[in-house]
Amino acid sequence: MNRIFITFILALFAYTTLYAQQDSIIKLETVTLSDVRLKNAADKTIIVKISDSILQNQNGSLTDLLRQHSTLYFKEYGLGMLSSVSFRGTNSSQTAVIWNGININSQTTGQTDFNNVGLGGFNDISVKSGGGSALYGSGAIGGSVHLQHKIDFKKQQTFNLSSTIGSYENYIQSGAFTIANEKSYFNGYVRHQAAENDYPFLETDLKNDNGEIENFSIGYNTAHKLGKRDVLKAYFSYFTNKRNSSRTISVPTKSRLDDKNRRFMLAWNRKATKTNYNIRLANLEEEFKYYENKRKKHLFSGSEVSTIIANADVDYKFSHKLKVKGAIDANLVEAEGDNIDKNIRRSIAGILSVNHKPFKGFAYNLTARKEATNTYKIPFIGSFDLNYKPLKWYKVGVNGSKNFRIPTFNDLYWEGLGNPNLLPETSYQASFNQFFTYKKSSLQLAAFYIDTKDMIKWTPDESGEWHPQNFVNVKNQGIEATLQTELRYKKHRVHISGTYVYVKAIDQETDKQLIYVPLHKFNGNISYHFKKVTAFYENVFTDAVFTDGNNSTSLLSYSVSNAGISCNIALGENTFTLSGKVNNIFNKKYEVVISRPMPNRNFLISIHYKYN
Amino acid sequence: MNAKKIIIGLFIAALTFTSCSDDEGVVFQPTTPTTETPLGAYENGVLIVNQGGWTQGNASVSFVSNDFSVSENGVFNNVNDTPLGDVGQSIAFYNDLAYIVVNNSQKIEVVNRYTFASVSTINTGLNNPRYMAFANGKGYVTNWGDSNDANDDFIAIIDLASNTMTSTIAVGEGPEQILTLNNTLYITHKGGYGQNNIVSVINTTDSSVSTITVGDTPDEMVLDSSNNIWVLCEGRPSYAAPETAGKLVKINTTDNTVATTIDFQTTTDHPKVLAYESGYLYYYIDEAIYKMDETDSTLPTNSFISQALTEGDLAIHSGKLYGTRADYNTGDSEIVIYDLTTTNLIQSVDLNTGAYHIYFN
Repeated sequence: MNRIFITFILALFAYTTLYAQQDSIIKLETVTLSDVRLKNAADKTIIVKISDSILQNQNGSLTDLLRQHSTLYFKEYGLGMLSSVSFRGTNSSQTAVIWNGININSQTTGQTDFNNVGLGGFNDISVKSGGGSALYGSGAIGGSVHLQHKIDFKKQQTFNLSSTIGSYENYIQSGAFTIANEKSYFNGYVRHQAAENDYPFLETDLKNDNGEIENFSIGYNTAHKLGKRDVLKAYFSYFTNKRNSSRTISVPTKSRLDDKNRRFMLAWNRKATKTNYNIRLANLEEEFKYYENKRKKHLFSGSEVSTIIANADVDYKFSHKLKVKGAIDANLVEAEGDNIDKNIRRSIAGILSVNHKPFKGFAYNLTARKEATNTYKIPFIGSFDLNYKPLKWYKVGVNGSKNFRIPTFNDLYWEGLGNPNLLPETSYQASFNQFFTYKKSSLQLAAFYIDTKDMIKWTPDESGEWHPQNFVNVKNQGIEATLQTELRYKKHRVHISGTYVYVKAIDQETDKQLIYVPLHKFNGNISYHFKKVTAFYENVFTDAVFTDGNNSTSLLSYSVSNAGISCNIALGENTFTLSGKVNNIFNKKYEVVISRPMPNRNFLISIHYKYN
Repeated sequence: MNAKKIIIGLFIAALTFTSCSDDEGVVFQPTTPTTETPLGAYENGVLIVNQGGWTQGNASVSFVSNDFSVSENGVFNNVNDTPLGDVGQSIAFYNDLAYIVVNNSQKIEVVNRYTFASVSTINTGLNNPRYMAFANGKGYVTNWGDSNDANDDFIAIIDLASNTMTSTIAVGEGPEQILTLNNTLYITHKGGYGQNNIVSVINTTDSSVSTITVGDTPDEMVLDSSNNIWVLCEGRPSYAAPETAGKLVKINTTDNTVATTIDFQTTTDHPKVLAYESGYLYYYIDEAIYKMDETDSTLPTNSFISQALTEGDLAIHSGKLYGTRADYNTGDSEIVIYDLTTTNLIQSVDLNTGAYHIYFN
């Protein structure tokens, strides 16, 4: 353990990096994931996995969860409001969010609002650093976030009911059940949250007026084995999110944003001796309505987008050393809105991927993708990834890729302002990764470099009209570190985890750091388990960020801590968990986005009932 | 005028890039001693209202003294130790008071125009306030209302003793700039988020409203030496098809009719900002300032001064031409000052984000 720690420190100071992998995604044969591309043999740049146990006790948003447990930085416009991500210093449309293998970034904005993702439907979240466009398509430049439901053909019957009450009239109720045997699996869930969210703005006379949020999610995840080789799966999720738009320090507001997202996917998997087939058909619907004055219900603007996705993957195993994947992705997107004329985008992509393990401990992957659309040209892209594990506790890897991000419907077609001649953004990147594992401890470090060209930016022309153009070139470089360790003494168990990221994201034209990209971000989590009691303390430190292009103004850095305790009471097959949590325990005043204060100290109390 | 573009731009730019600057830095240099008793630190100079970035909360006022020896950014904030608010729109002056209209904060800050010490805040009843003028001892403020509602636009009437809104006058979509002549109000209807093509005329004794149809997107107005009002119509922009060319329209204020209309050449010609001095009109288009004799019936072909005033304003005072420009990508802003006779640049001063209207104090 000592030696590993010293190596870590040396490595850090020498500006080299290590890389580690925590859990093998494919460790459980009985578990099936729909995201078949994620378990690609050599492709293991998984930085963070968030397990079901953390997810089950989650009473915040996906933003809260990932901010606390991954290297991701979120630009959250006040609690529960719009939340856009920056991964390795890239912008919000350069992180792909993958739902059970399907890219769900909004077609109108190109990004995922992490406060507009329904919770309850997934039991596994993986955060993968680095370019993944070859497999996941547009937007996987900084990395990708995989939201999944693992299906486990194990005889089980579980019920979960949970209720949370929090400060500022925050009420969360959720329920889920799973019934399964060796042949069939069914999971259903429902979750509702309503919050007044009117926390005071510290050191002012103001409070978070017009900050009410209400969201509802419902869905199911089901699978059935058809004979020995075939599995049929269906996933459904429906999410509505009604949010008033919080006031700022200087702007009273009365607007409201309503979102609806519906996703359905049917997947078929056939496993033969040497061949593995996966076919997926999905339909995604996204809709939003913006009311400038929430009381004038007849006056709104909005858009509706419908996406149909068809994927087919074929894996062929030449030997245990060599596997080849061929895949086809077809997409049909139809968007229409008050500011966008009806437009249809069709695209089809072919993917070829090779995994080779020429000798023990050494593996590499080569992937290539060619995509064609009816709207613009997408370059040929590809990636390579190689890993070498010379020692039981040490692994080293290097990967490189070319990635892309397509212009959004807003970029292309916004009434009178959009630019139909936009090109996709392209980026080259490389990452050098090392990782150490020792018993229950792991340490991963990565050094990365991203060069993005033709970035799309909305900018005013000489007459003051804003249009999108491909003209920004940004270079990002930095390091990422993830540490996990567990200490045990008799019945006492202490779990420690943390991530650290350093990133410089420099606009090559102005030579300035991009706005809202902190140089340093750190999070640490420590939990103590003794018998039926768990206590935890967590902290996120975010460095100062610039809020304007000429880097003359910035927001202060902030360090925010939460703490909580929970206790299990088991009565036969029934388990009750009582838990309490204090957010922002030191009552720090901070803003994530300028002029939008975040909550002061606040409390949550939950009761969770589980039957199994 | 620019708030709309900022809103649209920032809205769809979807949070990846915005800009602002909140440089409260004060640059004080020794002033030349004056013999008169100064009315305050901000007398004998130029005031500039800086819009700041949309929702950045960094609207501000800058001061540059007439001899350029003193300049100060963030005047309101410095004097009153509180931020001005969000999107500084305009300033109107009445006696010793300045009324700073802060659009997105839905308020008007009332200060002493020379000391900038806060007197009052008008923050009830306004809805997207734009510009203010005075007539019959009352204040009149143009309001877009909700910008997506064409039927709720109004003029707020302000009681200047209590600094409260006492009543409203309903008007057409998008009332913008407002000018008083003999207790009659002239209001251009730029159109708010959309485009309009009228000037409202309000009789302040009975609050009756009549309208004059002018060119598309009328914004700035000036009063000439014969009490005619010239209205600069920008024309419909490219994003609001059908695009139309700008027009310069002269209103005869004795009978409130259009006396002269001078068309710009092509539909892509969208002139901005208008100033008047000593028989000449000055306007801005395509990175240049043009000068036109008020008696001419055609537009000048050659530019007067070649200077980009992107998102800015133009004003003339004491033989000098003042122009502002703002870059909302970087947050950079400046005021440029030209000698009106030689057309040489004599000074430029860096300002806070979103430099806009210029006023002489």
